[in-house]
Amino acid sequence: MADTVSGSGTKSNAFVLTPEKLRRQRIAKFLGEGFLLVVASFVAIVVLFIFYFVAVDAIPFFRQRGFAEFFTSTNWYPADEPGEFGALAIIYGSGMVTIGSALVAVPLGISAAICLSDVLPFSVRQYAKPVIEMLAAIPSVAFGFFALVIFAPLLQNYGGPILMWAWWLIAGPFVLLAVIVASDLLTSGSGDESRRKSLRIVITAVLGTVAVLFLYWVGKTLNAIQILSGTNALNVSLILSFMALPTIVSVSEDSLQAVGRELREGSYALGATRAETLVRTVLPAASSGILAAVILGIMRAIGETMVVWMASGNSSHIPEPWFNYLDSIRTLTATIAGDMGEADQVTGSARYHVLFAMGLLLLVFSFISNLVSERIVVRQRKILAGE
Amino acid sequence: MSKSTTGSAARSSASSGRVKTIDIVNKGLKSRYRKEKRFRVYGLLSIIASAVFLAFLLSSIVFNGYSAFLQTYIKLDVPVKTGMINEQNPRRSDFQGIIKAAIRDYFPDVTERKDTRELYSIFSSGAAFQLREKVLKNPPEGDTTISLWVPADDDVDMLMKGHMKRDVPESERRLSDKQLRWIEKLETDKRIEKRFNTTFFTAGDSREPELAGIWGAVKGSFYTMIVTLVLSFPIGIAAAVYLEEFAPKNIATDFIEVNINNLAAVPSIVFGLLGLAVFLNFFGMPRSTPLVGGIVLMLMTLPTIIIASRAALKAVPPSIREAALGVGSSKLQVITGHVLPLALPGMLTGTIIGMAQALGETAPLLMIGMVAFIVDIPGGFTDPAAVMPVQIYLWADSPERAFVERTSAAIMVLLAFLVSMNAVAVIMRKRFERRW
Repeated sequence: MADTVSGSGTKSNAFVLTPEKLRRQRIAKFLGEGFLLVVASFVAIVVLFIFYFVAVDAIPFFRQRGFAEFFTSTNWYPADEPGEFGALAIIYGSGMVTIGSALVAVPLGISAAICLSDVLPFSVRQYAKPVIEMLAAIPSVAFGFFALVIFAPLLQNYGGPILMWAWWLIAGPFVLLAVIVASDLLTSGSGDESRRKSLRIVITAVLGTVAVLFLYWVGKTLNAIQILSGTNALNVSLILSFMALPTIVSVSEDSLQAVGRELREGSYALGATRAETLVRTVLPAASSGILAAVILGIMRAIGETMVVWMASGNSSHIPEPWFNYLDSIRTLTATIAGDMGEADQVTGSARYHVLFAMGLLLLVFSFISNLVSERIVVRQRKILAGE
Repeated sequence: MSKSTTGSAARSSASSGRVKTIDIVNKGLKSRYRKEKRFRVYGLLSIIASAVFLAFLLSSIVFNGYSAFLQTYIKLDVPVKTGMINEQNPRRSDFQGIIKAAIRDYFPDVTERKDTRELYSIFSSGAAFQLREKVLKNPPEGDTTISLWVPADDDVDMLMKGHMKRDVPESERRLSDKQLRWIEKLETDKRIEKRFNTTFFTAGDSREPELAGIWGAVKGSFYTMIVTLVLSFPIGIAAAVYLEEFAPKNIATDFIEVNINNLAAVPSIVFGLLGLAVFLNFFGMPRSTPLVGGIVLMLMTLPTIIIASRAALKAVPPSIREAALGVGSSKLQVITGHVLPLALPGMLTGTIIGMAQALGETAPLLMIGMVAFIVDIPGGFTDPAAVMPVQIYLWADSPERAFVERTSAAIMVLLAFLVSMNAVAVIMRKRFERRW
């Protein structure tokens, strides 16, 4: 083995595998493999360990207070004597922020992924990809600082105009597109070519005016809105959506790349344009992978702590009305981060254990969604490979 | 849309007699191309939106923070007479008193008690420390005058940098009219100027913005990263080697693989809960130390390192292994002699990216008490320490304008670290990537 380069007399011996050598080799292999197995299982054990220790500290809370209060009450007064531990508003806040960020991040992320994987030429892609990767490299506390010190005052002072411009920019193209499509659909029934054209112009004009009036009216309403506090659900949702973006983009891009050339070229060969190929062929084939990407991105938003702790306002109540994103909210992660400093002094009290109950909730949710997304990815791989 | 147009085209040409496919295609082509263009624009818009956001974020941080690299200093001539320095123990002399006397000397017309207090507050309380250092280093002999550039108070600093306006009513600014007059006198005497802010890079945390620095946090981060690296690199690579090279395909292996992904999905704050419940409360490890922080961050970086290392191992072609096995090496020799060296660059890349993530992580460290206010610069793994992101978080909470600028500056420093780490990883990947 190791002593192959010995004297010429023993050279032939070096390659002979004596029983003694064989045994030594086997022991070395067994030990090495065993050691590696132990190390690898360490990772699995750590996960169980986390689960166990968080659960052990969460169970006393449920034993003391039961489940009903935690999940149905909105009264969160942990510092009172006796305290109230209704976490419904906090869970709602987490959900609200997550949905808000998903609404922005999912369309943005998927279209960016499509763009990066299929549309952009390589020369542009080279510069576009680092932009997305850079977003992933920025630490969460920097996002939090930005949300708190720069974005929140901006929202507070120019909230109305910002909302109006965002509305014009986002809804404008969509509404105009809808007008074009609708007038197309409405006129496609009539027979005569010249009559159809004039009819179409009329319908487009009418619908267009209605649409512009609608846009203007909503924009004006938004412009009049006064945002009382810049640290609100909208602020946090927007920042979180940009934090979730890199995850969504990179996982969706992988899944788009996993759709082979054959499908794309088959579609081109049938005369489809690139947009048609992407929308009708590639996207359906990659849909499950994209779904997994969305789940992972959402996980990132739920688990994020610093931004929500710094910039969500941290008031534990359900906004009035329920979809009011301009109200301040409180999330699970922020509550854990914020309350532990005080709850830590009273280790063993319900106030301490309730934070572990929240941690357990987060943990269970992340495990479930991770397992679901993994299932989806595996299934997609199987379908694409087995077709 | 295209469906309907092609459909009607087919009908109209059907009425004229023969239908040619090319006509149908040509009819719809224009709108289809238009759609294609729109599609492209939407994709581009999304990337532009991210780029604009990134540019806005970075530029606002730079805009807020660049001025923190400068600090206003005031030149002070400090007369030191023989009796002033304690002969036996120069450490215990009244340096604060000496500085105050020097300030009074410079402004002889300020006599009222209230006014002198206002006058002193133009200067940072760090002035006395500076004098002390200087005196201890080379003790003065006889009567001399020591000329010092002492840091100005943060309000004066803000005024000099233009963040505070001079022309607003007195009640709306933090400096009184008298103080402004004194500052103007210093300006006309050319005794006040902005210089490079060395304090920011050499000091620990402080309640006074002009005396606060990031060196303590940088060192804390450094120790924490060492712990993380030492623990996570060997464990991560060993786990990856086992899973790629040895693991049989069975339920146990699947279980390990699933749990690696689960570990990656655990919200970071939960790692903090674990650190608190296990390392602090159960094992009784010291609070707010790099040791505990490093262990917690190790758990977070493990999945990144394992996943990257597995990819690197997978990229080594089987022919290498087979060739080595063919000339009689044992499996361990194949791995240590051939597979690992070839996969090492990829593994290191993954490790660097994992470390960069750990360096920017804040939330779990809040849970294990690293959020405490720590002035001393840590000297070891078991000294209480702050890390850079936590320092940023602490400063971001402070209301003073001077801390806002220091927060931004600290973010710039942290980002510089993170970006250069990521750049190194990218360059390494490019450099050592081999196509087989």
